[in-house]
Amino acid sequence: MRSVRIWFNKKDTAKYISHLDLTRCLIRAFRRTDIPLWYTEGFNPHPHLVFGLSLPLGVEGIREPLDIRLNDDNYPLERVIEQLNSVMVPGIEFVEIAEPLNKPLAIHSGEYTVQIPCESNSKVLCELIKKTVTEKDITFDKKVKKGGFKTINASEHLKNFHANYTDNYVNLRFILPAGNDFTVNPVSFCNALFEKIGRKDILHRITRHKLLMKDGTEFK
Amino acid sequence: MLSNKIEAIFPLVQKPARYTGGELNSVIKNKDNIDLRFAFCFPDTYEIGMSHLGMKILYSLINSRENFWCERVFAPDTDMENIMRERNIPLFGLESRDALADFDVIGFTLQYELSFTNVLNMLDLSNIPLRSANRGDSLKTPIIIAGGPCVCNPEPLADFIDCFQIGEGEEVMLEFLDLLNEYKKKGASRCDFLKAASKIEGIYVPSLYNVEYNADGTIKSVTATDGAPEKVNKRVVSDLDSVFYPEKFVVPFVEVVHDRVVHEIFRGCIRGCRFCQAGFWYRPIREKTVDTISKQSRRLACTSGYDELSLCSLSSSDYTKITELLEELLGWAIPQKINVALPSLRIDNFSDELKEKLALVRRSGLTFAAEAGTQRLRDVINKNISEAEILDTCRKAFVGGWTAVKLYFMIGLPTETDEDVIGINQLSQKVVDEFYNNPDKPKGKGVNVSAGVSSFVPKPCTPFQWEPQDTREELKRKQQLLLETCSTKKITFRFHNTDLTFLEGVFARGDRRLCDVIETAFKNGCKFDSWDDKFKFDVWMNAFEECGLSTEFYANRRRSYEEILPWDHINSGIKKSFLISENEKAKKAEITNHCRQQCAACGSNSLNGGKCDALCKNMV
Repeated sequence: MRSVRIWFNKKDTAKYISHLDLTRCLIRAFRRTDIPLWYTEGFNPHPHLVFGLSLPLGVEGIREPLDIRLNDDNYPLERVIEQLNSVMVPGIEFVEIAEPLNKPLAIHSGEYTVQIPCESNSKVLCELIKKTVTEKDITFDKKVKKGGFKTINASEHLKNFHANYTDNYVNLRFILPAGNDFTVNPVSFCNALFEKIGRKDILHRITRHKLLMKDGTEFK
Repeated sequence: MLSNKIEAIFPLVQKPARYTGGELNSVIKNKDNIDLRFAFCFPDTYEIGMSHLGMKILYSLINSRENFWCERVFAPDTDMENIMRERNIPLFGLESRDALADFDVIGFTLQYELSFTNVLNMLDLSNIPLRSANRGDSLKTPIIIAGGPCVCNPEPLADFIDCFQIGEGEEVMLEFLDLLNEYKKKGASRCDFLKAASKIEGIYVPSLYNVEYNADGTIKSVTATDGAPEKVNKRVVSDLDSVFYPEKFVVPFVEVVHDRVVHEIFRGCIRGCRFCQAGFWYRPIREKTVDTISKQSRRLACTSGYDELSLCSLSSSDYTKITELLEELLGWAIPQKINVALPSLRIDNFSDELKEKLALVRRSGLTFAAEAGTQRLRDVINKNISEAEILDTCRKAFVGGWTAVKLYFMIGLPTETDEDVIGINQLSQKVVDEFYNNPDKPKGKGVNVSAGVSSFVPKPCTPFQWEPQDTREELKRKQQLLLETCSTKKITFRFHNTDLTFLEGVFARGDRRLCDVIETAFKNGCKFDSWDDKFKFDVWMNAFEECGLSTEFYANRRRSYEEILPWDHINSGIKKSFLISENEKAKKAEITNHCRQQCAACGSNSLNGGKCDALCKNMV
C-alpha cells in the first residue's frame, strides 16, 4: 500500500460542487479508471480519500491537495493523473502527483484572490475597498455548532491584504485562517466587505491559490 | 446575455449544482448543426427528476440522433424561482442555458397527478402561453408534448398540451420528431403538423376531439375531427432486447433520490391486483433476457462509476429467470464492490435461495405490501397473499436477523368495513408476536413494525375505475380508528395526507373541464402540490368553486358501466369487458389467477401482435 498526494484545480461551474458532492464525484471517477485504489477493510469497504481542506461552496481552487492510497506500489504515478483526467467532469483537472510531505493537520491558512469585474471607475472602487479594509472592522455572524451565532471580526485575522485595478477589474489578494482549528470563510468576508461599501450584490470571483502552514510556508 | 445573468444567481441559491449543468455524461452539442432542440421537462425538483429512468432513456435516445439535441429541465426550487422571476430570467435548459422558448419541442413527463400545476408554472416561467389555443399557428413557438403514466387519462391537461404520447416512448418519440423536422423544413403551419401527428400511432392531439356533456355533468360524446383516430392506441415496444437502452447515465453532483444504475428487467405485471394502475397499464408482459440485462448494466456501471445496481420492474421476483439473473449479476458485481438491490419483491416467492444470494451484498430493509388487513379484502383486490405466507416470511426474516419490517396497507378500498381496517392492526400485531416467538431472537433488541397506510385512489384503466373514493372525513375516521385500536409502541403508523389523496382522486378520473380549475389554482399560487408543506388545499377548493365544478362528482361518485368515461378514447389494450368482469368478481371476493397460471384474456396483447411473455411455454 502506498500513500500519494494528488493536486487538482476546481474551476468554473465546478466551484458549485459542494465538498460532500465532490467526494462522491471523485470516488465514482476512480471507479471509472483502473487505478488500484485501496479500500478500507470490513463490512462496508470504502476508499480512503483525505482532502487537505474543503473549499467553501462557490470558491475556485488552484492546486488543492487530495491524499489517496494505492494498493499496487508499482502503479505508475503519472498514469493516475492521466486516467483521472480522462474521466473527469468539466472544471476539475488533476495537475500533479507526489509523495505527501506535510500532514493535512498542518494547514493553517489560505491565500485567496478576488476578481471583481467593473465596467468603469475601477480605480474608485479599488480605493474605496482599500480605505474600508484599512479603516474599518469587517465583521459577520457565523453559525456555530451549538446553535446560534458568533460574531467574527475578520479584520483581526486578515493578513497581506493587497488591492489593485486594471481597466476592467479590481483585484484583491489576502490571507485568511483556514484549517482544522479555525477558519474565516472568504465568502462571508467578501459579502461583509461588499455590504459595508454598499455594493451587496456585486459580482466577484474568489479563488484559493495556496494553503499555508503556521510559519507561512506553503503546504506540500 | 442570458448565460451571464444565470451565472450571477448561482451564489444566491441553495444547492446551485442542481442548476449549473456540467454533470458527467451530460450532452453538449453545437447548436449550428442541430435541426431540432428538445427540452425534456420533469415537473418537480432536480433530486426527484434525476431519479427517473424514463428521462434517462429518452434523453440518450434523442441525443443518439446527430441532428437532435435533448436537454434537461426541472422545476426550480422556490428560492431559485423567486430570484428568476425577480430578475426576469426565463426557464432554461441545463446544457445550453438557452431559454425554453428557443426550443422546438418541450416535453413533460407526467408521473403523478399532483405535478400538474408545476407543468403550468414551468410554461409560465418560459413565457409560453399556457393554453394550446393561444400559441398561434406557427411552429416557431415550441410544440408542447407530454407522456408518462398519467396520460392514461390525459384529459385534465387537454387544453395545455399540444400532443400527448400515449404509452412507451422509445419508438414513437423519434417518429414524432422526424415528422416535426419534416414539417418545419417545409414551413408548414402548426395546425397542419398537429393533424399529421395525430395519424402516428400513440399520438393524441386533444384539440382534435370535441367533448359534449350531459346535463348531469357526465360525458355525452367525444368526437374525433380532421381525420384523427376515434381511439388512440397506447404504444407498446415489442422487443425489450433490441429496443434502445442508454450506455451512459447523466451522473448528478448533488445526491438525488435514486442515485444508482437502474435496470428495467421486464415490463408489465402478471399479478392483476385490481387497484393497481401500473399493473394493467404496462401490460403485456415483456421480458429482457439475462444476457442483455447483464451486458447493459455492466456497461452502465462502467461509464458512471456507480457502486449500486438496482433492478426495476413491478414485482421483480416474477422475472422468470430471477435466480439465474442474480447469479450472473452478482458474478461481476461483487468483485467490483457493486451492491445489487432488488426493490420490488413479492413475499410469496421470496425463497431461501434468493434471500441467501441477496445477503451476499449489503442488507437492505424488508418491506411487504400486504395492502389489506383481512383475507376477504385481499381477495377483493386480488392480492393473492395469505396471512400464513406473510407470517412465514417474517419468521424466516427474523430468524435471519432482521428486526424491522415495513408493511404497506391501504384504507378506503372497495367493500371495506371497520373490521378490515382493524385487521391491519391485527396483522401487524401478529408480525410483532412472530418476532417474540422466535427462540433465537437477538438479545436486547426489540422489533419495529412500521405500517405505511395510504389511502386508496380509484384509477383509470383498472377494475376499480367505476368505484367511489372514500370521502376525506371517512378516511380520517379510519386513520383514527387504527390509532385507537393499536395498543403497542412496536407498531408505528404512517398515514398519507387525506387532502392530497382526495385531490389526486379528482384528477385521476377528471375530464377536460378541470383545465380551468388547474389554471385558476395555479394563478392563485398553487404549485408543488405533492409537497405537504407547499400544498394549499383551500386555494384548490376555491378554484373548484370559482369554476362551478364539484370535487365529489369526480372523486366520490359511483359511475355506471354504461357511462362514457373521459379516457374511453384512449385504448390501453385492456378490454372494458375484462375490467367489468374483474369488478364483479371483486364484489364477490373472488380471485383471478395470475397470468402464468391462466391467461385471463385481458386483451393487452392486442397492441403487441398477440404476443405476451406470460404465455411462454417454459414458464412455471
